[in-house]
Amino acid sequence: MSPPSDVKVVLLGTEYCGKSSLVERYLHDRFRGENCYQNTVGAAYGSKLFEINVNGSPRALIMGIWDTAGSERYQSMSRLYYRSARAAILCFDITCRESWAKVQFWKKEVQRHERLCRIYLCATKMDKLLAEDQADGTEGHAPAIEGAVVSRFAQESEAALFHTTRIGSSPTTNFVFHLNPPHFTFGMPLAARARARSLSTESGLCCEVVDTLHRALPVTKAGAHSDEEP
Amino acid sequence: MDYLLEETVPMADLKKFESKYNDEIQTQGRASSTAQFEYAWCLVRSKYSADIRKGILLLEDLFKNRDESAKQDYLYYLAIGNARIKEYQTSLKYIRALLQIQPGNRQATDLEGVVKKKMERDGLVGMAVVGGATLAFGALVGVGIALAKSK
Repeated sequence: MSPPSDVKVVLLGTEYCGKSSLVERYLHDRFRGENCYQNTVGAAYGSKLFEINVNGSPRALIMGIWDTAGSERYQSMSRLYYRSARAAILCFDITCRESWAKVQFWKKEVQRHERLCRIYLCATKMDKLLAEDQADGTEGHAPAIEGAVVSRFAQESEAALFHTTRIGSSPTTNFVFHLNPPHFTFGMPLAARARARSLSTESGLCCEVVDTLHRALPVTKAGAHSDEEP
Repeated sequence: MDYLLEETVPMADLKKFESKYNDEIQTQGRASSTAQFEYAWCLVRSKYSADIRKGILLLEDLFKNRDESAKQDYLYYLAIGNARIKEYQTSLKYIRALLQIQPGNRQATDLEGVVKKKMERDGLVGMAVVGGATLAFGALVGVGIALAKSK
């Protein structure tokens, strides 16, 4: 028996690139802080209920999110986690070259094995670069990968590209992930947060994923279960 | 959360990792810790308790003799395996060991909750079975007495 899921979303990427933080922000709108790093064992499952409109009537779907372990130890097993996923969010730390190399690996893997899976790219920890521009003297990191390279790769992969940033007065209390373009929110921009809370089921990544779902396979009638294997 | 203990691995995947593990033993005399872990990871999620027990043995070996950095991974799956064969006390022991390495680890606390709930439920079922048997026995005795009296 698998955890409940109508639309399966999987996060892939090297360890410590921020996958779990992204999910934490998305599901619970909070950030645990860098000092609370815990490496994921295997994969952690989370879910979100959202509604879509099918011919004028609302239908509830469960988005199941598999936050996979980034450790090499799980690389061979990860296929069991991304199997029958409709969306794969490939994460990389903008200041870490190895994490970028891994993105290319995952892209090939997912495209080879999961024809119906849409790929999303997510550059995390953008604020580490931004620190450079601030006048307070804090040293920012240089990007490990050029923006143009990332954009080109995203285009070639037909992948929407997101940049997430942790912004706040204190690095551990008030981090917010920003996403670009803003209507593809996975996590909320600060100003839009309160407003979007009620809308979040209709907006952002959900819609995009559901879109993918609609294109990929017809949503079945009662129960709205997709035809995936368990 | 119950899926933590109910998720099973497809047979084809178990077989794949099994042959990788066996191949390494045949060619190198010993399986790498990666191959052993992958195989054990599948075994503890098998439908069959014999597989689960084998997985537990492989994980115990990894925990005692291999890779220090992966201890918490081994502990986590030792807890899963033991809980799946209803060795709840052992499972909780491993969870506590994991929590000692990483206090507040959420996956561990989630699993702890599930195991404790299972334990409670199984305990209640056990009591219900004993209770039911007592009732049935009482009824039988009653019928016996009634029969004896009616003669």
